[in-house]
Amino acid sequence: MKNLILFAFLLLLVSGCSKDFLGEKTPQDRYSEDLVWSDVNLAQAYLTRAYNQLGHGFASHTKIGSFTDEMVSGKGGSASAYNLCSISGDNLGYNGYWLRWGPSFANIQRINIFLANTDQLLDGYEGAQREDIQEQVDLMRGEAIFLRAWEYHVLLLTYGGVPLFSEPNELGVDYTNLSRATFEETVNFIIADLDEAAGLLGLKSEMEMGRANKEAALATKSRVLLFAASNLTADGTAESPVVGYQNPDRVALWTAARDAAKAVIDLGTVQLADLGSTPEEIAEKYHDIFEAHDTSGEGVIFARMFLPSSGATHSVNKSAGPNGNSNYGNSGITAQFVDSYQMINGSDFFDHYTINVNGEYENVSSEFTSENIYKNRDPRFQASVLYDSAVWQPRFPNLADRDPLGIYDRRTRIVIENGEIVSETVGIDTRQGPVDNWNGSYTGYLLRKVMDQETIGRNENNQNIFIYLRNAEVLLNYAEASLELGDVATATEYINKIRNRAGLPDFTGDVTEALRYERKIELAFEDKRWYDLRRWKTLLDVLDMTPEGVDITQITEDGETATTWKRIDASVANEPCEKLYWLPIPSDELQRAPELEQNPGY
Amino acid sequence: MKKLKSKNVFDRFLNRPPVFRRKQILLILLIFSGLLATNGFALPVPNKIFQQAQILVSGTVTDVNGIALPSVTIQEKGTNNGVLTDFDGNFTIEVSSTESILEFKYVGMKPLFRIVGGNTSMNVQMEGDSQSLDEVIVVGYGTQRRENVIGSVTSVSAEDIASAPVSNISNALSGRMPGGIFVQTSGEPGNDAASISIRGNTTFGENQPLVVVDGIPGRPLNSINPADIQSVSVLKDASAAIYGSRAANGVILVTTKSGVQDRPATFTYNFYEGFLSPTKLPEMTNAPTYARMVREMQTYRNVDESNMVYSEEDIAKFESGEFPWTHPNTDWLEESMRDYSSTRNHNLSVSGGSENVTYYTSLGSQFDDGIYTNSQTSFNRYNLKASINAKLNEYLTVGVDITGIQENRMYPTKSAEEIFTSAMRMYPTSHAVFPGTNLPGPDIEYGDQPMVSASAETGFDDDKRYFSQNLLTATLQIPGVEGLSLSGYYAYDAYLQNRKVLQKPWTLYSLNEGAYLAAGNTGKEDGTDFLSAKEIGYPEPRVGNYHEKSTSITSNIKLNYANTFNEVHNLEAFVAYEQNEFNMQGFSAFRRYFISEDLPYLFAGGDEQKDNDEWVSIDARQNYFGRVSYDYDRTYYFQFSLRRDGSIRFSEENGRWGTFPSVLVGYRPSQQEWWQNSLSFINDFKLRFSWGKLGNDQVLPFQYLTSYGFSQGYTFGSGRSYSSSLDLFNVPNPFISWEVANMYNFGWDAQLFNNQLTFEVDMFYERRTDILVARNASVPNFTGIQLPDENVGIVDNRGVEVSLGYKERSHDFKYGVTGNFAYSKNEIIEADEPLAAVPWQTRTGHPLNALLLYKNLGVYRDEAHVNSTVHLPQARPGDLILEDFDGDGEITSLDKQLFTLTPTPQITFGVLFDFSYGNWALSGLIQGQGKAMRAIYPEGSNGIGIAGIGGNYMQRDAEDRWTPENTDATAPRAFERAEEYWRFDYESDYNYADVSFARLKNLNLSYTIPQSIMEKFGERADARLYVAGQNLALLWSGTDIMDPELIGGSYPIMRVISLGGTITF
Repeated sequence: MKNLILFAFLLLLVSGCSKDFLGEKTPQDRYSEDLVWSDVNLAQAYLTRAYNQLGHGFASHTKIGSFTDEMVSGKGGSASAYNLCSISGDNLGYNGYWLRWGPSFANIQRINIFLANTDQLLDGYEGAQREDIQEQVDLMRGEAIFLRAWEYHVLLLTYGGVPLFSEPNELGVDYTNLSRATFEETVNFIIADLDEAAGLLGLKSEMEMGRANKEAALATKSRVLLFAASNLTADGTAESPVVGYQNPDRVALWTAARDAAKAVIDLGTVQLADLGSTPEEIAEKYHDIFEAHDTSGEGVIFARMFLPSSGATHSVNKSAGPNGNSNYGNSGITAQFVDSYQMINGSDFFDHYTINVNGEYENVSSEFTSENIYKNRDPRFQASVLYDSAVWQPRFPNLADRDPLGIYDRRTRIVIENGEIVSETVGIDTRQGPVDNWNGSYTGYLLRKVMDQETIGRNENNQNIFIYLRNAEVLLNYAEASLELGDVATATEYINKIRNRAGLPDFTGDVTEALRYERKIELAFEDKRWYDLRRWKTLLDVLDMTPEGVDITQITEDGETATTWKRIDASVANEPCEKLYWLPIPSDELQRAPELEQNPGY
Repeated sequence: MKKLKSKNVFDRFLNRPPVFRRKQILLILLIFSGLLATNGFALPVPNKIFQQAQILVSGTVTDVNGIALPSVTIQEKGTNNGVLTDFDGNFTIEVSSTESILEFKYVGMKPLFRIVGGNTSMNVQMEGDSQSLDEVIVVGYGTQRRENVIGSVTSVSAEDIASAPVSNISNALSGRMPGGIFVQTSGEPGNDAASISIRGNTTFGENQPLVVVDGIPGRPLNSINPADIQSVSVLKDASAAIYGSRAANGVILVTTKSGVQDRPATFTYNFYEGFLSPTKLPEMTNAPTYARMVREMQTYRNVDESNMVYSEEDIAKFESGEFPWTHPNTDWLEESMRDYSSTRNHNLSVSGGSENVTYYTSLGSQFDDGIYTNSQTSFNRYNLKASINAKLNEYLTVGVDITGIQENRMYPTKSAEEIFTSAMRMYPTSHAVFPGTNLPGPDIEYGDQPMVSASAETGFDDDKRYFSQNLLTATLQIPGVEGLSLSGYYAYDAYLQNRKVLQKPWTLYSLNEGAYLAAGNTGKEDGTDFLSAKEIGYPEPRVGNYHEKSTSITSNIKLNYANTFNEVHNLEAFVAYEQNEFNMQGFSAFRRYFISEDLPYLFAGGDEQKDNDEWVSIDARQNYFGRVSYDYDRTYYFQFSLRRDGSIRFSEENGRWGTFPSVLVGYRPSQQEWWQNSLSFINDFKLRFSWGKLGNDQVLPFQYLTSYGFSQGYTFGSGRSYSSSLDLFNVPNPFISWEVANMYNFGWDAQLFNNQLTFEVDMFYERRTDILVARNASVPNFTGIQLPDENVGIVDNRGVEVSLGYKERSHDFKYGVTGNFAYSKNEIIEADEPLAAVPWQTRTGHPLNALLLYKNLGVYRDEAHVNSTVHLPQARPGDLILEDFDGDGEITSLDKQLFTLTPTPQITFGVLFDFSYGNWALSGLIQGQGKAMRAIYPEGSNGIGIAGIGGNYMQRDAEDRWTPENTDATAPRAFERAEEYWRFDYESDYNYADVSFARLKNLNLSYTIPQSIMEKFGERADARLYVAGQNLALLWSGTDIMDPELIGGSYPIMRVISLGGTITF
């Protein structure tokens, strides 16, 4: 009897041994495929992931401007593999967000999965609901198609023609023999997507903030067509169809580019906002465009919003702010770039200053007599560049006594009395300063344009938007395409619109130079110049330089103060070469798919 | 006993902080009341009545060689009447009757029993105890006597584990098991366990062995109270196949103690108190050297004298040491650490049993604190275990085993790594604390100042973990069938973790040097008035709570059969069913903007940016298995096992079920007559061969499903609201299944010269197939497919293990030495890697985790040397020469080569020795490894160290460095962070160290208090006092940069010296 009880007990031990012990269990932390594609909210969440995965210029310490004359890589001191021309398929150098071969294709696949499944969504709903759902689905499809075009345009502008997919790829299919689509095919694919997206999407004012919109689709089209029509890909010398047109019809290409820009302008929904009249006011309002926390700004077409602690956060202040505030001091602006900002009257800086044999700046102007080279400049200069003595952020309490205003302090102050040095104080933000001095900029300048004055220290994330597309670019696209088609009047009108808004008079002199100046200055540090220099085929000339900076010494001798600004080398010399016009496809990718053509020179 | 209680031992025990004391007393009372309440134990009352001696027996005790044995214990069985032999082995004892049985006991000898009979003179020869043959080895779902084991199984005894004064078992096992690779990279209390792999690595994925505690897979190894361990055995070959899908990386079987039949209650109390100090710390440069190197580096960069960080005058001042306020010379590793930290262990157990009931119960406590000055770190562990087995009737035995563990880890908010690397990084030219004050000097960045960041100033990280392990067992002898029994168990294990982290700002001080000097000071005068405070770290207090709980339910039923036929056919067999279900759920909550840190609870925090999260996971397994073991007359052995495993990690249609067979055969010719006639000096010889198919299921589960999980989202809308997103986990692979190991082992065990010499050899070959890897080579990135893992990788692993032991004894001196040596090497056979541009960069054919680096060929002497050697355009004198491996006259990425050495050593070895003389015993362990290399520089924000203007240099970069004056240098010129090409972009083997070493791992000297003293305390009273040490000395090391195990580590490896004792009564 006892043993019977025991048996019962033993059976209890294994009472869990049902045949379906394993079969009943499914993961608890995820949704099944069926569920996702029958619920519009879940599908929407999947599309949200595609937005999340878009690259943006705050994602890396190294901005693409360091591939140009805008800034140095990191803090300076050394050059990147790109600048030294040692970049190759198996030495990609620092990974920036622009090296998007893998991530962009992954996002395209994500979007294609979305597009292939949206048809099923309606099945999950009935009757009157369906109309509503259909509307939502159409809008989401518009967004998805725009995002696909966006990712392809990032690839196109970096690598040229790439494999094109409008359906999800599948495991088990052999892709190893695939080759690249031509540049032309890739452009056409992108334009077709953008046209379709523009048809499905609402205007920016009708769409939720942060989402794709009709203006964004049309503006991207303008950007792509302007690039396509430019010298790099359309002057008939392209080495291969994957990096340009073989027998381009320039007029047709420029016309398409012009019309695309005009289409955005004709919507009438994106305006150049007024920035006021005094240089100070203009500088402040210009800076506000980039410091905004949401996309409501009139000039903003498509931008990414950030929260300090949710989602993909960004901390461009930590990355690019001054070392004296415990920031990392990356992206030092070059002295060459700084000196190219015009004076407030539209004249050239070097009409008023020269650099003597010792590398020191000398004022030779009768009009602007300040020895301080930062005075009386294009207002966009103060809004874009952090330079010595510009007011920036309050200091930590222990330095507040020394620097109550919170300036960007780059000068060495020497006090001499009776021929003897009584004190020598290095600037807080220099590479000899008291705080994190190894993070000091070699050039003496830092980024201001996309920085947020309100984000203080290194523990807080930024909240300002990253602007993908804004109206000034479209207007300049329009001006450039018009100019290439011989319409100097229209070009002049639009160039001056941009200049006048910035507080500068109409340009004088060569219209092409004026246009290129406006693109350089108006769009500075917005990750545009690298693409411009390439499509103009001026990259090699511009990059052929040693990035320079400035050393500032203020000597007070018996009460009299004199300051010198001296040009110094901030990095080793760039060594540009022809292959830099395109980036290499990673070598291991070519090993996976040997039919892919590598870009010229690699 | 009363004396003891009032004396030092219990005083020490009770002399703990109040909380601890109350808790412990309570628990002791609980154990005792529990014991008293269970009257079924019927504690045998020792016979107190003195026996009337009637017969005098005398004689001599010798060993087989006729050498007299002194101090042999001779006891009349069933009484407490006993004597010892004298120096010549002679004895005389009075016994009560001719029926009396005399028991002869001597350490290292087989116990002998002799009936007195009519003999009044008795010469006794004792045989050496071939302990290893008699030893009972746990082999997974059963035990075997050592002589019958035909798998590759290593076991470590309780004594060996207890001899090491360490808080976790992994460090006690290190070096004692041939084929076990133990790497301890951190000495942080509560976090200092060694990682374990058996016979090296064989997969790209998880190489950790399965841990089975008392039959329950997956219980945490390092939370076990070392004093509770009866034995540890490791299954290294196909004998692990009985664990099927989880066996491929080897299986560690831990058996904890249980009661002993027919033994009165035995109390054992043991304790030790130890002092810990770092082994070899990295050497950093001092202030003058550092300043000189920074100057050199700036000179190479053409920095103007006015912009130099340090002038020649500064260097002179650092050297003079006369300007403590402006020119300190700080040894940060010295300043930031105390002379020693402490460890403390107490353990009290009671065990015993009657004929039908046995019990073991113990209470243990472990305490360790941190080495840093002002350390906030401490680790406490409390283990309570109670186990009862009762034979309810002739057929039925049931058991209960309950274990409760609490682990309290108290840490600062900065990680061990941040604290240690900051101590290495800090400028020797800045102040740890300002002279004559306790005000801490400035940080370099992040507020990392080890004098403060290791302390409670930054807040706390209070991590409490609770384990409740409950096991019910039952065995039924089936009536009517001899040898047939049914057994089963049910285990319910629960785990709870509660962690609270408070982060808050802290204060550092800096000297306002300008003002200090302007006031006419020179650096010698007190500058307290010129110090300014800086608040650093998080701007305001913030609190995070983490809570995780999990349960694991395992049940097993097993039908056993064991019998012997015709005295020569020994058969043992079982079939079994087992299942396991695991559920985990965790959540976290976070708030910032606390107005005060005094209430570190969420309600006291602000509303802005608060955050919370939850996570869940499940697992389940179902297993059917059985084993047949047969031997003919202990001469021919055969064993077969088969296991069928199911796991929810894989799809029901494909891959969920796997079958894992094994075959083991053995031949023991030493049992045969011809051997005994001709090869008698080899007492025992056994050949072993095994093959098995084993699985590894430690892979990402549910890859067979198309499923969408939550992912980081995006911010939309005019109010900027965050929407989380869904993403596809991966493209499903419906066929995904386990990794499979085909494991072959061949070996022999030999005992020679009257069991004095043991010689064991194992050779193995393992091919791991179906290793899960993503098909990176065949699927281009442009497809955008999130590749699932597929069962495509193949890795071979082969090696040899040798163990050689010798023991000797003469009179009362006795010693033994055992050496073990293991070598293993793996090779990737297939990995689906992208085709490398050059064959020498193809990972296939190389070991797992082979390092792809340039080879450095020394330092460029001068400009001419640069020009005459293949060099990079940026190369200058003093830079590292990189080998132009492909000889194309250029240094390109194709010149990188795969180095065969990895952080996993190919060679491991241990030498165990023990000596005893009279009451003294000394045992020790030398342990080491060979053929391994690891990265030297700490993983800083740049991944390569921060030396230069941003932090101190290592002495290895200072010694014999290149300077214009020292051109025949072995080290390159002074550098700035990662900016020289050879620091990061072109990383070479210069940044790696040979981490082979041999160290005196353990030494234990003990003194057993003579029985003549102890018998006053009770008839079974026994006491032993000991001094023990761990990590005592590095005997040899491949690198002199720092302790080779610390390289890549985050907290110093500690040398432990402890004093302890064991008292049994």
